[in-house]
Amino acid sequence: MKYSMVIDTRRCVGCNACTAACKIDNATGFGVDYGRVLELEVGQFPDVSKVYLPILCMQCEDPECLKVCPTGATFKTEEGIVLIDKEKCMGCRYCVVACPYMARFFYDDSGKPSDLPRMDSEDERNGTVEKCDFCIDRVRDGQNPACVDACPYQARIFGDADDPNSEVHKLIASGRAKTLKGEEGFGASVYYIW
Amino acid sequence: MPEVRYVKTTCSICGHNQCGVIVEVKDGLVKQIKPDRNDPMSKGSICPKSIASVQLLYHPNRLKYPMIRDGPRGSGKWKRISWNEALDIISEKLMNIKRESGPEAVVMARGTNRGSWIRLFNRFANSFGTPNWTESGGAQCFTPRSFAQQLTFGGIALEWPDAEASNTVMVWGADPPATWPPKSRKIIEAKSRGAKLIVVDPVLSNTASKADVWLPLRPGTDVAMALGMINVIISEGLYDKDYVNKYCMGFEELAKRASEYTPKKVSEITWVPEEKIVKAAVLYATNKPSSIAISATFDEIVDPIQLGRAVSILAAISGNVDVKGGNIFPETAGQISVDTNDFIMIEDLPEELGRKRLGADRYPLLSRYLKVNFPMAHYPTVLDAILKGEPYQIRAMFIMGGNPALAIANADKAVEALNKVEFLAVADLFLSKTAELADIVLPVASWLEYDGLADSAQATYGHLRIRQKVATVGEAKSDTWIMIELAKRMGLKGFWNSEAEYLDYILKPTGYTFEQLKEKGGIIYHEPQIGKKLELGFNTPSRKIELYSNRLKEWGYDPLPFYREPFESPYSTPELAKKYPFVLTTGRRVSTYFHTAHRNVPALRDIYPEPVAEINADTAKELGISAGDAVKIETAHGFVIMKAKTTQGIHPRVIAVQHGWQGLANDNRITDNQSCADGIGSTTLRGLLCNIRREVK
Repeated sequence: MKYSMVIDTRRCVGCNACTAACKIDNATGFGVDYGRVLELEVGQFPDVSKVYLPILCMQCEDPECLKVCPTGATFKTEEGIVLIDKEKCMGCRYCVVACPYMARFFYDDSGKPSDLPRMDSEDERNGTVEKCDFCIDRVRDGQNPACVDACPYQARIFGDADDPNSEVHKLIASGRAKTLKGEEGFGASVYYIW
Repeated sequence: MPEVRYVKTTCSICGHNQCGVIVEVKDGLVKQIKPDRNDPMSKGSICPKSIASVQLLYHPNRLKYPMIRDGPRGSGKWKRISWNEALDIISEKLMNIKRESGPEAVVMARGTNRGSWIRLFNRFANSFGTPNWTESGGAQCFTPRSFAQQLTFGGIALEWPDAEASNTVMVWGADPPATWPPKSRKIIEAKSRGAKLIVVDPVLSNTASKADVWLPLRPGTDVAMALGMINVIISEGLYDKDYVNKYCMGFEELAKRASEYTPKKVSEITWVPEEKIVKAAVLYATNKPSSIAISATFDEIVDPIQLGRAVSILAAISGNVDVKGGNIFPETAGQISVDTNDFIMIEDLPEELGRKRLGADRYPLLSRYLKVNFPMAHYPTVLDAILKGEPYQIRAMFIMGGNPALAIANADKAVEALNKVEFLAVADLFLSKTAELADIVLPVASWLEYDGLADSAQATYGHLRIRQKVATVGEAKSDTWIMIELAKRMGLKGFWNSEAEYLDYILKPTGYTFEQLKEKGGIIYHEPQIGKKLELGFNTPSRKIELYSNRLKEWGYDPLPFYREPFESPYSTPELAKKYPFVLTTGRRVSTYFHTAHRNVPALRDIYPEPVAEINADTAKELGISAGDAVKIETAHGFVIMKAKTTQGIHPRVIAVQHGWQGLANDNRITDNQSCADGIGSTTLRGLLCNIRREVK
């Protein structure tokens, strides 16, 4: 089993419904983006184009973050999902630096605007590293990750890449969906269609 | 086992009332809001604001009970009172003022369409007897473009692109992914089918990122662009001759007028190369059916009536109105339409009071009852009247869903007026900058806290969906409930005993009660009947599409569209342009906020944490501005401080700022409320002059 996501950038308009759903579902602290949408601009005015690129933890086959973790807090599940054991994480942030996709975040509440209310989860999370876990609880419960459910344009497709009948398997097998920095061999589980 | 239920309801976080959503409620608490992909109207559309409404609902700073001021205005000292006390105080105060100074001394001002109560608000004002109801939107949103469309084709077809069936979609001065997801969903579906997309916008917006042709025009020059396209379509013989002959009147006069707007001339005005204008016009007119999506740009430039008219005409002569894949007219699902002068009881307002409406003399298209519009008072004139006591003294203001302290052009002046008015009552979810100045505040329910119907004019295309109460916060009540209870106390005609009675009244012609409709699944739906107007005639005096408007001529306005330079521009005020060399639009929107609301919702603020000003990257470099720098943007009216976003997606001489932030970032510190649009009174929010520099602390 290898959970994977395919993102069709042609259907992404950068509305951030996915980001909001992620933040609500995971109760992320301020500045912690399990998922986010980058804006990439190419060209000079007026011949300029823009692409929206949703970024999340790529759940690598061979995760750089795992290799550098000194406490063994980072580990992989049988479904191919990379997780962090909060009890073991001491907040050293080696993994934040090592991640080729800048998908890990060290949470401290210093950057939070003072006019925002405090969230229940903030104290417990302060001082540890966090990231997207493909909404593992939802997925084990038979649901999609929150970002997939939220996307108004159905730009995200989720499933088991090892299942030959799944849509993600077909898209990956067809060669249309490609990973970011694929040539560097991290074995990402998030694919993109351009 | 926890009890989990899923409730189908309708979001109204942006007031469009169109997105069907599924709310997960666990042990009585709202946990999650998801798009309803099976909804026949929205088909899975949703936005971050809707999703994050969980945090809005349970926000610790929500107003939870009515409060009365317990210290000087704005002191922040409040005393909790009961709903009975609050409603008694408000109704007594307003009735006393009515007796002593006449009903016109009471201003009723509304803001967002937080649900479907907006026309009830008009009805309330007319029944109370004041001609002075107004909206923060009003002349700045929907009213001008609706009026222009009513004049042209007797309905508001430009509001609804039937984009899923279009071969070309033109999005004009709008960014649906940020502001209107059901429209953008259709556009993306059309694109993925191979349809072409034209985007008219000074900024490379979310929508423009998908454009085949992007027309980055100088802010405020939209009318010239539209006339240029009409010129191309007529001069190259690309107009739909059959359609024009059958359904339009005034084509000869239009052709003559349009001949003045050659691509060359329009290119000089708009700063968009000629060939791009021609390309867009040809694509729109030939790769049919074509639809257009518009928005508040049509209400926020120097001459909104001309823009609404010109783009309506563009759609008409290309044969794209009331046809599949073109632009289509709203249609109820059989319920009583609230969008009628009957429903708002305009005829109940005595004519002599109508004449007293603030703005009626200078802005007749907005403020006089011309039987094509909902006449309303002109907000800047209301503020002037409060400050000057002329032409008569305004003594009370009752504000629902509005935040004029931030949302009105020249906001400092609005604050001054709010401070001055003798009695101020505000109903809102939070203690907004406006509510802070009130004598009495009422806690309002969010869209998750009341039963209702999603039935506004822009929302209804053959479908009617219910909204369901899934949560309770403190003593918060719906806007509808507040009006009904006040109306009871004041003995106003035309009101009901309860919200339930009101909903059943609206539903009566459908044969359902609210409870029955809820049981049946909460939705009535039929495919909109396209082509009815072509068959039966348009709702205009000539029964045709009026390219030439005799009514405008009668009222003393040009019967044909024409371009007017903005009040301030490098061409209309060259001296001013020396000091303020950049052209400014305050029209930028992001998907996480609705006007001045939602910056206090953590998940939303986290996505767009700071107020942003967009500047061309090369210009920024020349001025020593780097991405993320604090910049000061100054106009003849004031200044704001924002964060710079450098981009190639904007003209080197244009600056675009976001709208709705408070404090030094409030864009309405740099707008003007004295120069207003001819006839309709809109303040210019797109097409001002400014300067920009790095802010050194």
